[in-house]
Amino acid sequence: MAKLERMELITRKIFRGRMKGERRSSRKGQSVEFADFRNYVPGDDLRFIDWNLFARLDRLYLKLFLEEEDLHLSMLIDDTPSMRFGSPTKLWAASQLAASLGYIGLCRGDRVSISSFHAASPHVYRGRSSTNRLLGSLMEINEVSQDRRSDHPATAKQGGLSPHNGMASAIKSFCSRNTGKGIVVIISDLMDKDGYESGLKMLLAKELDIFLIHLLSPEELSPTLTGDLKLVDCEDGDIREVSISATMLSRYKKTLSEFIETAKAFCRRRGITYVPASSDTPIDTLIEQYLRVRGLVR
Amino acid sequence: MTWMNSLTSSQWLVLLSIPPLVILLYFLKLKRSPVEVSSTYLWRKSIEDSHVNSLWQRLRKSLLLLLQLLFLLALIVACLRPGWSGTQTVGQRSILMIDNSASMTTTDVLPNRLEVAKAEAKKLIREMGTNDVAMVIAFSDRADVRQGFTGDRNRLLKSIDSIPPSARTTDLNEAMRAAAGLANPGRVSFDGMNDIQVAEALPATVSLFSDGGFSSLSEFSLGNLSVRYIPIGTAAIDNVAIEAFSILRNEERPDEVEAYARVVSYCLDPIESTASLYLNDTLVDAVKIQVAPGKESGVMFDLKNVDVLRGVFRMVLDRDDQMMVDNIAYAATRPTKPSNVLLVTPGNKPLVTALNTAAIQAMANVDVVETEILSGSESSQQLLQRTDLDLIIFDQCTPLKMPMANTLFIGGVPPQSDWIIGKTSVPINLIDLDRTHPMMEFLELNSVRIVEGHSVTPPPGGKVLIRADNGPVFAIAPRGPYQDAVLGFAIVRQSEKGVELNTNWGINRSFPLFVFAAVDFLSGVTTQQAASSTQPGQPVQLSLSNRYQTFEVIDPSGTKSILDMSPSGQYIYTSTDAPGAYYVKAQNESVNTLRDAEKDSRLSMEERQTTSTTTTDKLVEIFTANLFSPRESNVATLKELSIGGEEVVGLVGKTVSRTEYWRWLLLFGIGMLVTEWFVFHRRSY
Repeated sequence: MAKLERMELITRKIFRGRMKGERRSSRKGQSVEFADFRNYVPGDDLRFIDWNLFARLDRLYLKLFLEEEDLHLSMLIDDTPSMRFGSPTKLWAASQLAASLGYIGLCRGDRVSISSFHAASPHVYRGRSSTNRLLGSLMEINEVSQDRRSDHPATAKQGGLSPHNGMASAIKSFCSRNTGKGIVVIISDLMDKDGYESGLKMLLAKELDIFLIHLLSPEELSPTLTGDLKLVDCEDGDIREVSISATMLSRYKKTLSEFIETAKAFCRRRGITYVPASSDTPIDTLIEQYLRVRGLVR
Repeated sequence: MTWMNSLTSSQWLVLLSIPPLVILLYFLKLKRSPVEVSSTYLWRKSIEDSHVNSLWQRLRKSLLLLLQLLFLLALIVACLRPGWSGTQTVGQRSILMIDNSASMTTTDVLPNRLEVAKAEAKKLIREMGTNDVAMVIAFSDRADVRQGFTGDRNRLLKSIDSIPPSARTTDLNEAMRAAAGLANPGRVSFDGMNDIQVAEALPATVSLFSDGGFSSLSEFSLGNLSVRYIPIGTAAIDNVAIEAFSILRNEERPDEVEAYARVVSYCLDPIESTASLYLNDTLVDAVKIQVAPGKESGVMFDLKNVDVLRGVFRMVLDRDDQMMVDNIAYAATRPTKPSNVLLVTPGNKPLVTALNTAAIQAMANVDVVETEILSGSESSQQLLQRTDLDLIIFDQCTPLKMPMANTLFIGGVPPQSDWIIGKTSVPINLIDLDRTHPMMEFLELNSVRIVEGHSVTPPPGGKVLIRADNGPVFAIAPRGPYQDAVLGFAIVRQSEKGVELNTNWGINRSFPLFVFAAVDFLSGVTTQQAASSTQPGQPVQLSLSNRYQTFEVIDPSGTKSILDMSPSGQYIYTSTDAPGAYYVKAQNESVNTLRDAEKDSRLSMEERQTTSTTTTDKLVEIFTANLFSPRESNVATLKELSIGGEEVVGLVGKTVSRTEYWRWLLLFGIGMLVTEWFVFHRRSY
């Protein structure tokens, strides 16, 4: 916790927050900290003219101050049934990660919003005092996901509900609600059969600083399955009959690495920070080594 | 190693579709345990990537599938009928002609030639292709189509197995005509048109399994037939045959019977053997015979010491050679058929008395009618035209026309004939009599005195038997198939005083003897003593009395067959397949004789009920069947034949049978199936 308190979220982009925060913006604005002077040009706000300097030099200069801004940290957590796999589950790891990042944000006075793919609206928190509520929201996401998973996909289909909200629809919903700028951290396993690319492209249009934490379980990274199996997709009930052998496993791993590489390449080309992670990686390792290296925190 | 396709293309298609089906079933029946995963997204992509290889990945370590596929492989290879030692295959249409004549019973090849021929033919059947058809003809002196064209090998094999040996002679002509039926279809022609072929010619291959013991067919045209001759048997033979055997009456001593046989040797070395003669299965004589190679020898049996010379004679060569059917010959004497004698007389006590002797009664049925019948109604006249009468004695009377029977005229003259009747002379002294004639053999007529009579001169061909001082008084002459004997004086005569003796012969001891001899000779009891003989398979014509309703023929094997009544009394019997004696027995005497009718008229109703309609089972005829065929007995196998002017060389040693392995493969396949079953169950429990 102490480590986290010392950390802060960083972004490579200049954002205009809605409220003044602890964060000193690279933009010049209204704050108490002086930044620079510049010549007056007609139209400038007369309130910022340094009258002392006009008295001394008889010339009009404008006094510029550093703008202090708050940072919007939005976290989109994939809570589809596939995230409930692994030991620990990917959703648990995602929640821990979100809690850590959220805590960092809250400590710095940033605006932290937590949302899952299935949530109707995000939970927005500000200030360190909101830590408990933040954790409560994450717990709620876990529980709701658990309840949703207990409903078999086939049952969900019969009820006329969408078996899961895809990444694209979740991001679309997010974009429609959030008009501001900031950091978006998406924690997902990207196991969306409809593809993740369209959703991410929507985010790009918002000029957000996007972090994609690709969370996979050790079982997915190195499957221990063997023999003649009937694999049932927990999301859509899709059945794949497969006889798993060493050849098949190597083929799977090859497919997996291609999948990761494709995602990495996609993100790199579009300025999205891609962070692959395993669900069994300790959270401090994840924060310190993965996210600090990739510049999300410092 | 050779292969022979035994399935059609469609059948192959079905067979080859089975292995993929088994693999498909293997996949269907594979029980996979369901495992829930986060997403099949990556697995799906892996499967899609390895789509081509996944089939083989699934097949790993499946012993069951391997065994099933091995079974199928064995089945498929078995269907190709792998075999060793290739041979000629049968053409598309084959005609298997198997000789089952007497010569094919020769045992120079074991078990005999017919069985070897059948075995060779069956080999050809087994070599038949899928689309081939074959026909089976057994032939001897006639052709017997045992099986028409069919591709069903089982039926063909069964038909070959069912070909029986026979003792018949051989005639290839009918068999070849049967074989050529479809190969060389007939043509029809109409007025003003060219002749047209009625059916499409279907060329066929004739496989002739025979020893060649038949005459060459020079007149036959092979046309679309191609003949393969498979000679059965060897050329070096050991066979002695009886080629003639008969029972003959001694021409000079008609009461004596001789048994004569001709024995031919086809051996390469001189033979010495004995020939035995059996009468009704009792040995009556045996003689030693010696025959040089290729020569023949006559055999005469001495039957003087045999009392009763009636029944079936069987001559046996006491020698075991390769063909036994010609070592036995049969001959028979015909059964003593009671002859029918009609006496037409105004009254002649000595004659009636003589006809009533026990000897004549045993030999003949004698009917006596009055002379009024000659001038009576038409029905009475028809009585004389009865076909069952053997002898009619006209005593002191003359019919209007000669009857269809032998006749004896006593004191009368034949009407409208070439007989020359002399003037009546009183008295007559007998001078000479011909004792060589059967009727005159034992007569002593020295004491006979005759009051009156006339000479009788027979027409050309006749023979005078008693000569008197006025010329011939007793003579015999042929009339077509019949014989007429005319005695020139009466025994009794009608005078004003009534009936008086014309001669003392009637009360003489020699008179009944004469009547007996006359009835014996003229009623045909002794003239046709030897039974007829025929070759096996040849029809026999039987002339049987129509006084019986049905006749039963008992063949040498004891099988009885019924001859239905024929109005003409002529019967044709064809089932003379086996050599031996055939007995014809009469049943249900239906036509009462005239004497019976007369008796009936005198009998009371009660007596009639007890005596009429007697059921008999009486031997009425015997005939024999003997091979007596030099061509059949000379059993040396010919190496080549001449059919339709073409030389057909025997295919010696070319019908090598295939040693086929498909049964072993099938057995292996079944073994695989059993193992698969075992493995499957071991795994299940």
